[in-house]
Amino acid sequence: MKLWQPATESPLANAESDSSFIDSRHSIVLYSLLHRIRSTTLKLELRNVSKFYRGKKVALSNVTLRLESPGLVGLVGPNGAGKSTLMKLLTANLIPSQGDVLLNDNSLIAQEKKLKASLGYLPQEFGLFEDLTTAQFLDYMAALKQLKSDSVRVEIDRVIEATNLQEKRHARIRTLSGGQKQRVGIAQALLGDPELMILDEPTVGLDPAERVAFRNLFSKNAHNKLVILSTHIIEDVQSVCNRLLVLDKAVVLYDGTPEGLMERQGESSLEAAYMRLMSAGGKA
Amino acid sequence: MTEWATLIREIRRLLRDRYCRIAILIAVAVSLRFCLYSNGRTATDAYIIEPAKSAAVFSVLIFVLLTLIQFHRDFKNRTDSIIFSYVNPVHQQIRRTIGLCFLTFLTTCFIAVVAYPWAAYRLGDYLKNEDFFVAWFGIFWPASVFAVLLTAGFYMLFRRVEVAFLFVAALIAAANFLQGQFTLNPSYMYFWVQTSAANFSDVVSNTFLIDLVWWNRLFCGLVATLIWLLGISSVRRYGFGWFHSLAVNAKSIWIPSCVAVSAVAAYFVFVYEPYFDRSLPINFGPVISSGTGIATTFQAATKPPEPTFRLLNQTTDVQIDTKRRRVSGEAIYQLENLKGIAQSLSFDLSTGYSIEQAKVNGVVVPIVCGDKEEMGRATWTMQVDAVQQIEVELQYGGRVKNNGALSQRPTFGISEGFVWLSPAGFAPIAKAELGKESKISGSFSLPEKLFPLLTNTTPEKIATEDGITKWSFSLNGSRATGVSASDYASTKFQAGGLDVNFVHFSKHGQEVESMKAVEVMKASIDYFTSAYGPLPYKDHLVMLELPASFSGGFAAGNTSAMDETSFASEGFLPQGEFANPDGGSGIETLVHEIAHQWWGLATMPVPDENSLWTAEGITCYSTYRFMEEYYGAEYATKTYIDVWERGRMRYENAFYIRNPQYLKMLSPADASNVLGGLRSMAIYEVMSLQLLKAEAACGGKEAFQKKLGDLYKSRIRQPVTYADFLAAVGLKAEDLDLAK
Repeated sequence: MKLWQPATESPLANAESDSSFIDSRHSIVLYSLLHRIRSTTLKLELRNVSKFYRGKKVALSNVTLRLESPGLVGLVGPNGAGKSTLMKLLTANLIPSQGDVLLNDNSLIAQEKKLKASLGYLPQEFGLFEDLTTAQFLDYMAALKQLKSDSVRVEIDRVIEATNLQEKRHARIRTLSGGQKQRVGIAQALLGDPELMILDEPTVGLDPAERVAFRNLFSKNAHNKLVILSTHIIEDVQSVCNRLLVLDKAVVLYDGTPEGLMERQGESSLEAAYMRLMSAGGKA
Repeated sequence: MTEWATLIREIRRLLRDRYCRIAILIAVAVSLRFCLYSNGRTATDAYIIEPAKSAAVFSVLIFVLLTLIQFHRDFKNRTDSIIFSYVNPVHQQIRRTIGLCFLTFLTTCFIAVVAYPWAAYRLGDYLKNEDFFVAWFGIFWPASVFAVLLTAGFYMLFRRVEVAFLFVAALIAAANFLQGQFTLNPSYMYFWVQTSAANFSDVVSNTFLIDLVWWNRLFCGLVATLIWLLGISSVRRYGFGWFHSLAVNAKSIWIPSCVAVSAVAAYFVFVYEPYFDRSLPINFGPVISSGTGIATTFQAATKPPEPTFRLLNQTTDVQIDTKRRRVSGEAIYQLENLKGIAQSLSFDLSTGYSIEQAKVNGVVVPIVCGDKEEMGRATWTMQVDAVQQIEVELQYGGRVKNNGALSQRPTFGISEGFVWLSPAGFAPIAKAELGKESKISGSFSLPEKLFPLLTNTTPEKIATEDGITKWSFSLNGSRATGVSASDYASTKFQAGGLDVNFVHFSKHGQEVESMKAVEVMKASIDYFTSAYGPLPYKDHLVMLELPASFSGGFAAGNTSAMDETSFASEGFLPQGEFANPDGGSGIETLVHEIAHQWWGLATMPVPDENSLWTAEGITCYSTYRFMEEYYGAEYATKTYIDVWERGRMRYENAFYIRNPQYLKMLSPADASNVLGGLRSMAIYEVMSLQLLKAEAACGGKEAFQKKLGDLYKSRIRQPVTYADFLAAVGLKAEDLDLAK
């Protein structure tokens, strides 16, 4: 299988990490840009958040978290741990039963419009308009995301290339395979180069090569954005995430670096450390 | 991108959706099929109104299903979970609804593009663009839009496909059910799918009917919008249930504001409906039905109240403004106060009018309108002093309202092509005794192109200025009369010992000529006069053509009127093996209606439970005998006897006639429906054969008709029972049994 490289993100994607190439001619410009990035740092905060569903089923219990850009946060946990609930809270699809969700220190719901304008979201389960082609669907989503009309075509080209859907650009979505539809889902999340990307099981249905490629793509995005990645695949987290959140039974069991978890559990692999953590119920 | 660009994308998306394409295709195909095969009383009904009404029902069902698919599919397959993360769900549901409404518009346009040339081809000169527009963009399109709004509204309220479908289906069923419940007199505003549009005229303006269509659409549109807005208010947010979501959405102030505005607007549009008054239900006591839709009012000979005033003289000056559709006028009454005491004096005036100023003997006095409205009239009352001679001056005006007790049928009104005013719609009627010396005269103005008719008198043209003609009229000893005016043509002839003035719509001139209507009328009036006796009219008889909306005919004063379907645009003689000559068009209907002047209007054959005796049987028999003489025995036998015999076979072979015991097992409503259909067949066809049998038993046509003539002459303006008939012809009921 041909391995592909995702297209390079915006020129600033690697600016901070690759600052060694800054020369005197560009230093003022880059400083200004870096300053802008820092000044628009996106900060999501959960303060003592709990979420109960009908019948008092507890989905999240007293969770306190602070998530800041840039960064790639891996969210792992068994089924029913509360990962999707957490994602829905962060995308304002749900409101907490208790506690507050804040965006840049203000209520998230009060800034819903701002959130929606800077969001790229891929839910775990989603449907697409099957009678549209890939390009038509992305054009539709670009309109919903209020992208500037003169940049839509370029942006669609970019995300199609980023998700390797060039050959399926004019194919109706109903003719695509499950993995290809997943890539269309990722493509719509990438549209508009959003500041916040929340991806719930994005690599499900992708083959190993695609998984690697997308991991790299998310990693590149995380250089100047906040990317939250929910997954079952520990390998995905180990290779790209600089922060790991482990959820189980509605509570956060671990919040730290992947290496920190390995160290804490005394394991050489993240998977083994995760398994040990789960079997111990969070007790180190 | 702007909101507009987003809406355009939504519409484009819907147009690419296979279900939308299928829905449009089916709706267009079925609607065009209705254009080809619908029936109607007039050409406009058959080729424009009825296709649009039938297609509206089908289209409503299609768009109900499509709306449910669009809303529920995107929810169920979680497309909404992506979309609602980027946009406000309320805005997205609004876009989706507007997109679907646009599809209904597109569907209507596709249909119109094909249906218009077809209608133009079939109707020729009778095509009125306004009728076509109303049919497809006033009936069909709004019905489809309402279907989308209601379905979307109920779906968003309940978030259950089956519940939303059941609610909309119940509303469709309720509208259809109510449409047939004349005794309940439901308001025409309830008929949200098809409206009450029917009996559109080919030859005159249908403004009165079109008024009702648009008002219905206004009311139904507001109600549908209200339900949709309630649905919008209920769009689920943040994982909440209905109540919490309602509270969240209510924070967007425009949502509760729009709900309130549409609710209040719907209320006012319903309460202040402008075309019908608040008349009480009709007292059918003095009305005798023939069982076939013909009804005659017989006034019981009650002692009139003692008169308190006598009308000596009345002069009226009326302006009939067809552009503003208003009447304004001034009437002066000279009255004698018979008791010479201070007392109240009343005037009947059309509801919808008001009296702007009243003077008694030159002094302005208050005049008040009573609360009661009846048969399109309201009573205005003033106080007069204890003086013998009174002169009352009234200035009045307004827009005509119709009798609200018959809220499906706007009879009176003013349009640019047709005017029909009741006596109380022409001038206030003083509640005073009318003596032989009482003189009622005056003038009225109308657009030049309209020719007026007044019962009991003939108006005379005074002058024409700036396209307005002034007419004068004068009556002695009889009331001021109602006015009709249109682009009439008139032909005068003698028949049955009467001077007959045949007044028909100019637009029907060619039809009248090509069907030799005057010849047929003259011959048939002569024939029936010779067979039964003269009609009870004095001086002269006006045979007047009415718009189709009158749905039948009437006789009043010296006027005998029949609607335009008697001069139908096509098929002067019935076509096809099973065509019923009495339900046909053209000459057959014309003669049938003329025969009704003797049986059904001058006399009233009343139905009973033990026979098929009605005005219809004897009218069919009479029509047959005339047609036999006019077109020959071969034609009459083929067109009447053969058709009646086939009808009799169908009637006698009908399951419930052969097995009446099963009829008892049906619910009263179902049994009534079955019997209604069978009875309709029987009174036209079986009874006609029974009358032929009676004729044979009486010794032939001449002898039978002489006996019928004696019966007619002895019962003029009275009911005629089956027993009266049997006694007159000297037969028993069993003598007419066809099986013997």
